[in-house]
Amino acid sequence: MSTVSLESLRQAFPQAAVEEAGGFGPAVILTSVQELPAAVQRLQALKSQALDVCEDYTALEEGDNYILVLHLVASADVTARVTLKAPVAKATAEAPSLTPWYGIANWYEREVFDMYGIRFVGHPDLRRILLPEDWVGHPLRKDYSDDKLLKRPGA
Amino acid sequence: MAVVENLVGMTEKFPGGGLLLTTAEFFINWGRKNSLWPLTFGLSCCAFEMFSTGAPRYDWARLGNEVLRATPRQADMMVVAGTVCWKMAPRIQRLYEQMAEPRYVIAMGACATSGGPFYYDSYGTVRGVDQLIPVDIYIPGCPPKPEALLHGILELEKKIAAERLPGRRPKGGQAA
Repeated sequence: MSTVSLESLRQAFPQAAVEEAGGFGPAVILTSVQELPAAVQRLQALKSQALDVCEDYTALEEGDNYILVLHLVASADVTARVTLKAPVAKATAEAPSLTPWYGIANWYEREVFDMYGIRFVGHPDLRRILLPEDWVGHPLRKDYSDDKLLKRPGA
Repeated sequence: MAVVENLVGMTEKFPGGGLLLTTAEFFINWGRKNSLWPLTFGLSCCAFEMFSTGAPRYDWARLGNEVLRATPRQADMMVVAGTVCWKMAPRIQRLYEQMAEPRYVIAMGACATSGGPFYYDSYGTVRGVDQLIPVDIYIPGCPPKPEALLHGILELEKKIAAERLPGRRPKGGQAA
């Protein structure tokens, strides 16, 4: 089984935390979302295995941050996988767009914008993708509520 | 007189034969209930059970349901098979309004009848398609088996058979 080694990632990212992340290969955890484009470029140019496919791009909420989560795969070898994480401060909720490096990031970023309200700077067409265009709010935020939503009693 | 014998209770024998007597109301309802034209319309997992019901194994054409029509203008029966979300809601209303009258709606499965598993804590689900359009038959299940949908269609046919033509009073003692 050929995966990207922790060693090669630690060489490529001396500042970032690199750790084993369960079944999806190693994870690179950046300290700032501004490093994201540079990190993606470095992973695309990785000597051992160029990670040229963005398999998934989503977000989650943790404390004062939203965490952007990318799952990157090598088209030449699907066992070579890396998870990339970067925190976005809730106060600004802004991140650089990855559309210049991964075309598919266009729709993934629209979904993250739709659900979490993170604005991607440099995105060519940042509109809602799943919810109706006149929707108010971003429903995957933990503080989201609207007048149609029913809370489960006792939960 | 083979036709009369096959339609027991629906037609009257006429002394001497050669004639069938029935009411216009019965005759129209009989035609409507045995020639429902369903709309090609599936929303989620229930839709696969609906397709299965239409396919040869269950074959709803036996009950007079013809092929699924791809335009609402050629359809008079809609099976709402699956989860209705708020983005879909205006489209469903529009499809319903475009269907030929008289039109019938079957709400198939837990989501279409009530919101089902997405009743609580869902920002996107309409809690029952009857909030948008009138529903004739509700079929419970998650998803209902094809047998349940066939049962629902038979119940709908019973309902159509009991309909009164416009301007006629309800039958005495019975719901119209």
